[in-house]
This record gives sequence, structure tokens and C-alpha cells, in this order.
Amino acid sequence: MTRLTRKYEFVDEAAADAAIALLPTDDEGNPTHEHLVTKLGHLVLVPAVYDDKGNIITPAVLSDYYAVDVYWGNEADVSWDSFIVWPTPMGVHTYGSSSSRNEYAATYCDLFPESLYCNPPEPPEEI
Amino acid sequence: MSYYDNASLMFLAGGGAQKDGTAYSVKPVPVYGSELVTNGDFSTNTWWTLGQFWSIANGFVTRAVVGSELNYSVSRSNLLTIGKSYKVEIDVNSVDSGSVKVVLGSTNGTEYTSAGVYIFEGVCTSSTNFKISPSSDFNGSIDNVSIKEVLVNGDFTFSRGSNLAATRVDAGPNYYIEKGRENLLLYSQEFDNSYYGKSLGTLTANQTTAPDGSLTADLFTKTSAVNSVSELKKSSPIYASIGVHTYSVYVKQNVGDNVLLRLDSSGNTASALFTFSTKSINPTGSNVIDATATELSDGWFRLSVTGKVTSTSWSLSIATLYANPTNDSVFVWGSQLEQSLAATEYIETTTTTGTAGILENTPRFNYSFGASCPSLLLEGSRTNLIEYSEYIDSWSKAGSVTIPTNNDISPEGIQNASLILPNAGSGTFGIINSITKNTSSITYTLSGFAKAKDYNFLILRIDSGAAGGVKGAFDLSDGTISTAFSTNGTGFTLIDADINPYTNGWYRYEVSFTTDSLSLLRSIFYVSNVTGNGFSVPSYTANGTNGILFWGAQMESNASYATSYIPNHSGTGTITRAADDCYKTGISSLIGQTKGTILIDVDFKTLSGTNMFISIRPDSGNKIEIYRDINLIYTEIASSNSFSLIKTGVTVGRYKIAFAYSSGSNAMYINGDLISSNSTSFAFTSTLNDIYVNSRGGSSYIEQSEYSQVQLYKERLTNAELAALTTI
Repeated sequence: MTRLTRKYEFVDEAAADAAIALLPTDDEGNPTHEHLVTKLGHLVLVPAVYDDKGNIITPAVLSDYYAVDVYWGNEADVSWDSFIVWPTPMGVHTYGSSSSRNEYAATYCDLFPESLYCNPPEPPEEI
Repeated sequence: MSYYDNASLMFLAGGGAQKDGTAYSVKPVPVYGSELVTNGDFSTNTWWTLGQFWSIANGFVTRAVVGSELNYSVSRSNLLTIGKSYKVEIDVNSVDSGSVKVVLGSTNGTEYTSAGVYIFEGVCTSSTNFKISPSSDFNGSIDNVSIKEVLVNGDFTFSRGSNLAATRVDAGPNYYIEKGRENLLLYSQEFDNSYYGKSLGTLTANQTTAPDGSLTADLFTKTSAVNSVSELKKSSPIYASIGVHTYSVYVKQNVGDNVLLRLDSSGNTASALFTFSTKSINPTGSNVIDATATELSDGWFRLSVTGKVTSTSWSLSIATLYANPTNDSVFVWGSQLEQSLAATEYIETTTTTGTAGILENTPRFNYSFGASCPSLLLEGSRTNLIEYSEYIDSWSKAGSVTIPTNNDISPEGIQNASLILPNAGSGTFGIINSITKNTSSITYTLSGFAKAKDYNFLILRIDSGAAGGVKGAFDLSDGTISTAFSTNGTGFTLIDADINPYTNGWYRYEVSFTTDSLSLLRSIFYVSNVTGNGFSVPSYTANGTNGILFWGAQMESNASYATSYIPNHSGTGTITRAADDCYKTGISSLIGQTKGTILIDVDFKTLSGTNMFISIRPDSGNKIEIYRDINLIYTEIASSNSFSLIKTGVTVGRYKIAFAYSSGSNAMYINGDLISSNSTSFAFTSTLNDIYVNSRGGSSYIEQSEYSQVQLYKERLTNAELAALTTI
């Protein structure tokens, strides 16, 4: 079974928590749909710059959106489809799985066949 | 002891018996039903329903397509019973492209991508049909299909779904850390395949004896003029990721004296020029980290170049002949591309990437340093937040230091440890790792491996750039804390600090703490010849040769203790190891439904949270559970009458816990002693049929534990037997 890595963005953490809370569970709170949720938070778009004492010279620029990765056991929950995003494989986080990484990359190239990722250029001829 | 004969299920980690997806039990011996397939050898064109593109001939069922087509199956309707378990054995005779799997109702088996005899066990769900289901591009043939109902089988199903993020400590005498490895290149010893491009050169297959003794080494011959490039290369789409990669190839001199390896990342290269006559290799390029040439027998060399990939648009050249005259040539064999700081043992590939070591669903039988027997390591999901966890030279420096990469043998057993080397002169010397975090107080655990190389003291400062933080020091000469860890100022809280021995003089340090609410988390490691603390680092005069070896750093969030090492070679991302999942469903015949005994032999090193050691159940109203909650161990029954037996004052360590249950006579023994008993009457109202180890079947109540034994009995053992069974 290949688990699916899917990436999502919400307007804020509360919206992410609301979607997570709606994932089905049994009466003891165990998920009845196999998944692992990893909250990445507001991703760093531009890293902060610090001086040698650790003082911030330029603050980091963070995404306005709250990122969540989910490792679905079989099929992704369709109720999350409206939040899905497709960063270039594998974005800023992976689940350390060869098969899931390959599945994500293959699906990405199905969705974005013209992307540079799916059409790497020839190496330069010069040494 | 005779009562072992009466165990209905016995799992002993000491045997270490596993395959990807299964942890084998010693008892019971599996029992299977009669054969359900009547034309499994495809000797006739009967019984099976063949979807489009399939045909039966010459004793095989074969699928032939050009490109991709709809994935119609080979099937048999109304063969199975929903809810029953089946064992399917299938001989995948050939795979020319794609993959194929078996399907029990709607339960998908493993996708087979290469030829071999495979066994899949699963529970039939949703429908009664059996299918052999191809991927859309599968071309290949199948033979000898067998399906039998599983009447009795106590082997545990195991899943994790992470191979590249999981590690274990391998057996002695070396106790090296074993990783999951992967060769990302296909057709690793078939350079004549169109997978590899040939630019102004010709490739002739199978021209000489390869390093493995087979006649599979190819010859690449230059057709371009002097000072013009001839390349054997991989430039069409391959999986591409950011971060550290090493690619390697075996070469042997034929005509000419030089060969160049090159990894190109949007014009930024990592190259290595090898000269046969001098046996020297010269790394060049803005992204290069290291290059090696290892001489083998019969004139062969294994060359490697390690580079920092900075763009997902990249390609590599296996062999480039440049300054050589026309018709110069080189023998090539065995290419490998891997996410690693150094080349590891070669993995042959054909139509798919090759994996070795820890696979995605490999149960991890772990040997703690010095252990003669393994235990089954089960952990929850954790993320390593440190990018370049082994490529330490990419970190910031504190003072005048040099970081030679691949300087010594690491706990992995290969030459990929970095040396933190203070340059000659007076001052303080160290390295800095910085992480951007959420602006809230978060608990983290920092860990990593270090070894003295003439300097003994690793002085640590963890802060947010403000005055507050955590400080202390480790003595790597004897694996002790030389300066007690404490908080500095306000904002941070120290939870714990520890250091433990690993192989060959290496130690793993761990520091757990809670941060302030600033956005920076900074770890500063100072190396020194005297102890100190990270907020008061003593200055000294370095000699330019002494230092400390460093490898495998890890920062885990929302974590009050360290888990096993998660390698992270990405320079721009984090990596998560998914939780280990160990369970067996549908085995009511092995579980005492009115009376019985459960034994677990478990070692845990944390009192954090709740750790569900074993849960036997169909549902929340009918279950038997043994678990730890903070410093209490519970044995508990939920039924018509629910109760718990409790051990208080638990500390970390190894526990042999037995829970004997029989309506009116229940007892809990730990390490040879009666802990608690009662005479509560009870009756289960549903059949106990599933067992979960180290979880309740979901993602909750999972902490790190190691299991040596799990045993079930369908009898309530006597108290004397319980005492003997649990004595360590």
C-alpha cells in the first residue's frame, strides 16, 4: 500500500484545527480513517537575518497561510480537497517514504506536465 | 517451563524474525485452509476472467500493452468471504514495466515491481472477488497463483510507511546505526538502456568482467575531438530533490587517463576529475562537497562525488571524456545516486529504484548498545527539524573553525562524520544551528552524536538570541555531564539532559527544554579542552589539529525525550518518520474470551504521556489493556464490569508485566512480584478479536518503547506461574 502525501493550506491554524477535528474518529478518539497530520504552520518565505549575537536584523517573511501536510493511509479525505496545494516536490517537508515521494512526484507531473520539474533541461555541454 | 507449551501466541523479539510488513511470532504455527484456485498454473485458458490486454499461453498469464492502457484485471468472482483472512502466493515471472498487485475484495496487496515469488496476507473487504490488478503500464507475466484461507496465524502485521526516515541500532559487535537506503537511478548496470543519454560517444554493452564477477561492464567510447565533451549521462526526468546527494560509479581504465563525474544543478555543479595513472580524484564546482576514489581489484575503481543540490532542475553525467583524444574509452558499471553524504554499499537496480536496509514497513529489531538480543522498537511519529543533519559544514560557525566533511567513521559505520576543528589561535570555537519557530513556548528535544578527537568537552548553549536559554556541557572522554545543565535567565525551562554510549567511542547527547515565545531557536555547540557552559565559554588557545567529531543532529518539537535518529539531507525542509503500527486482527481463537493471561516484556525510557503497551479488543466496551500513564502502570478490563489493577511509583526501565484474568480471580504481576489482585466478576459482551501493540489502533497513546516478548494464554496461569513468568 502506497500512502499518499498531500499538502494543504488554511487561512489560519484555527481553520486547520477545524478541518482536523472533522476527520472521523471512534468513541475513544481513534481515527477511523488512517492518516497522520503534520502541522507545518506559516512557512518561511524569506528567512530572517540575524547578527552574530542572534539579534534579528531583518525578520523572516512568513506565508499568510497555515500549512498542513497529511499522510493518508489509503485515499485522501475528499472533504480536504478544497484546501489542497501542489508545491514542487516535495515542498519543505516529507514523510521519508520512497513510494509516497514517487507517487506525489508522478501525480504532480500528471497535473503540471509543462512544469520545469517535470522537464529538466539538458546539462550544459561545456565543462 | 512447561506452561510455555500452553501459550496460544508467543512473540519473541530475540529471534528478530521479520520481513517488510510482518513481525513473526514463534507460536502459533500458521494453519491454512484448502487451495481455492483450480487453474493456478495457467495450464489452460479456463476458470479465470481475463480483462483486456491479458492472455493465457505457455503456462503464464501475460499482459502486453504499449504505453499506458486502462488497468483491466485478471479476476475470479465470488471466490472469497468478506471478513476472512487469506494467504495469496503469486509468482511474478517477469516485469518489463509498471507493477502488479493482488486485491482481496477491495484490500490492495503490495505493488510488485520486479520478478519474484511473493506472499500477501490480508483480510477480504467490501466484495468477494479476487483480482490480479496491473498498473496502467504493466507489461509482464504471472504464474502459480495460490489462495488459501488463513485459519490460524499469530504473526503481527507491521506498517510505518517511512524508510528514509527510520533507523535502528544493528547487532554487535559494531552496533552501527542502520538506515533505509535507496539507489535513485534505474538500470544501474545497463548503460546501453535508453534511460541513459550518450552525447558524442558510443556505448557497447557487456564488454568486460564487472566488479561482481559478471560479464556486465559496458564500454563508453569517445567520438568527439580533443577538448570536446563526450558524455554518458542521465538528464531526462528523474526524481529530483534539494539537498545533499552522492552519486557513484565503478570505472576501469581502457584507453585514456581521465574520466569526469558531474552533477549539475541548474548550472551549479559538483564534479570530480579522476586520473587513472595517479589514482587521484579532484573535486571541483560550486556545489561540490567531497569526492572519493576507492581502488578495487582487477583495475576497477569506485568513484563518488558528493554535492549540494540547490535546484529541482538537475541532471548528472556518469562519465565524461573531455580533454581525451577521439576513441579514448572507459569501462563503466554500477551507477548509484543516493541522498547521503557518502557513497554506501551498491544497490543494483533495473526498472525501479533499489532500496536496502530499513524498508518502509520493516519492523525495527533494535540492539541497544551492548545488547546481545534485539527488542522490537516501536515509536510515535516525530520530525527532525534540523536541515543538513549530517552536513555540518553548511551550518554557521561561532569563531574560527573549519569543518572537514567525511573526516572519520560515524556511528553509521561509514566515513561520513564531520570534524569540528578549531583553527590555531586563541578564542572560543563552535557551530550554530538556527531554526525559525512559531512565536509560542514549545517543548523541544535536541540530540546528536559526538566523539572526542583530542578535545573532550562539548559545551552547549540553546537560546532564542535573547538573554534566556539553556546551558551545560558534556565530557566525551567518559560520556558524562561535566557541567550540569541549567537554565540561564528567564524564558526557557530545562526538562532533562543526558548522554549515552554508542559504538566506537561515540556518544549520543540529549537535551530537552521548553522555549520562550520568540521566533528563533538557536543551538550553539562549542568544542573545548576545558568544560564550561554556553553562556560563559572559556577562551583557550587551539592548536589547529584537535577537535570533536560530530554527526546526526536532531531537533524534535513537542517532544520531551529523543527518539531514534531521523536522517535529514534536505537543505530546505524537514522530514517526518511516521509511527510504527504493530497489530493483528481477526485472531479471536488465540485470545482467552472468559479467562486468560497476557505477558509483555517492555523497556521504556520516558514517563511522558500515556503509553498503551497492548490493547486487545473489538471496541471500547470490551477490551483488555495494559498501559502506562505518567508513573502508573494499569492492567484494565472493560466489560460488563470494568476494573483496573494499578502499580504506582513507576520509573523508566524494563518491566515484565503479566495480567491474569478470570471472572472472580484477577492478578497483576510485575518483575516477579504480585502488584495487585481482585475477585471482580466480569463477562465480555463482544468477542475479543484484535491485538494492538504500543497503541490502541490509532495515533494516540503512543510513546517510545521496546518489546522483548508478547505472550497470550487462554488459561489463567497460577500465581506461582505468574511470578516465575515475570521474574527478570
